[in-house]
Amino acid sequence: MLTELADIVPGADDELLDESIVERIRAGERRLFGLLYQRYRTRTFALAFGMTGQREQAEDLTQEIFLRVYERLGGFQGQSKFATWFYRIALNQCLNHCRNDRRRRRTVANPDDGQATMLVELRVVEQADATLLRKEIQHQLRSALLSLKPEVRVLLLLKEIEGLSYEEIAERLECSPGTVASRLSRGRRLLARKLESLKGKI
Amino acid sequence: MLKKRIDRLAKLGCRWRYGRLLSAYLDHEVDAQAEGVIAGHLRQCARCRVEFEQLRFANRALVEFEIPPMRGPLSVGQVFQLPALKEVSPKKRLYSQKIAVPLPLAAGFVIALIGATLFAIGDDQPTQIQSPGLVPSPSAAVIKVVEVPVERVVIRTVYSRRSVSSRVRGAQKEKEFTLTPSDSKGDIARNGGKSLEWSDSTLKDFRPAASANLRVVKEHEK
Repeated sequence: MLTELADIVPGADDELLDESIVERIRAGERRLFGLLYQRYRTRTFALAFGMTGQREQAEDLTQEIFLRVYERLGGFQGQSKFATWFYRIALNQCLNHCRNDRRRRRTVANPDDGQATMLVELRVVEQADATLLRKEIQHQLRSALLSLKPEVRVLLLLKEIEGLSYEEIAERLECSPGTVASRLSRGRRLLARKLESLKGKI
Repeated sequence: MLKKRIDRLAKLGCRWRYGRLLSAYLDHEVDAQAEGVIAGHLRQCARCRVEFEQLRFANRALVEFEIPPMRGPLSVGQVFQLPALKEVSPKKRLYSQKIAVPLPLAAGFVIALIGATLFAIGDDQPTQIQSPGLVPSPSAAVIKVVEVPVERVVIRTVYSRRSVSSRVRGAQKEKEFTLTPSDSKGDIARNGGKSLEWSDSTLKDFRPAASANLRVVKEHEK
């Protein structure tokens, strides 16, 4: 059982390029995968959390992503950067998860009902506690994000959380920068409309 | 009335022209020249300013979106045991590619395969080996016994021979002769007044007629 990074990768250099690590893993140094895990786990979890909105699901999804990446590592040809290749797999996993999850959640109450309830609760919370307010704002944000289509949501997350440029997003999602621009614009408009009640609080 | 309509169209045109660009302008993804044009337009157009504020608000909301720290395992070993990495050879990758075959073509191929298989099975059926002492069993036929109210039944075989004169003319006419085997030697068939003797040499040039080589005729006993 592997526990610590120092044990996993003795003499592992932080400056080591991802592509070199992949080469060494393919050559048989399987433990070096731990280094990739350390480098990408936080960002992958952030993406997974943005897509699922739930910590447990995001953790499971993160593990699934790393498992899938490891399984496909043998097929990495080095034609693109490892980060691009990694995110392509991660994004596909996230989108597949959301599609399957949406099918499962069709019977669950629609987000609008939740929003109405939240507004009533918000009035109470405003007088009570700032921490609670922050929690409710987060809840509303999550609900609004989750109500967007996964294809649009993933763009907003890549732009705002990852801070990627249109070109980089287009490369990772294998679409044109023009598509990124129009989807991003549409996503922001929809999000603003859904968060109308939070105006003045953010 | 007309002025209102023109104003409305102008506003729609404005949104059409700048709507999609506003998001890119917010992200600094447009070139300097376009940036100047959009900034100038935003100063003039209240409608686009509202739109732009909406986009900025969505951006601010996303910045506020908190991502909790991951509670999961800190090392990959706690996530899963790493199995040996499978090297995907180019050959295998080629084989693993999906090959799309049109449905009608695939259906035709399957039908042809089934037909060929059935044909092969039909040919493989074992042939019956006849023992030399046994008479081959006749093929399935309905045998009808008819009682003939006569005293004597004479079997006559109809033979035919290609006439020489016909052959010369190129015609393929065949002349029929009837030979009646009977107890009296030299029982001659009556063929247009000609008499032919019943012997092997007589039959040499004859063969059973194609139409009927066996006729049952009834004769009254003399």
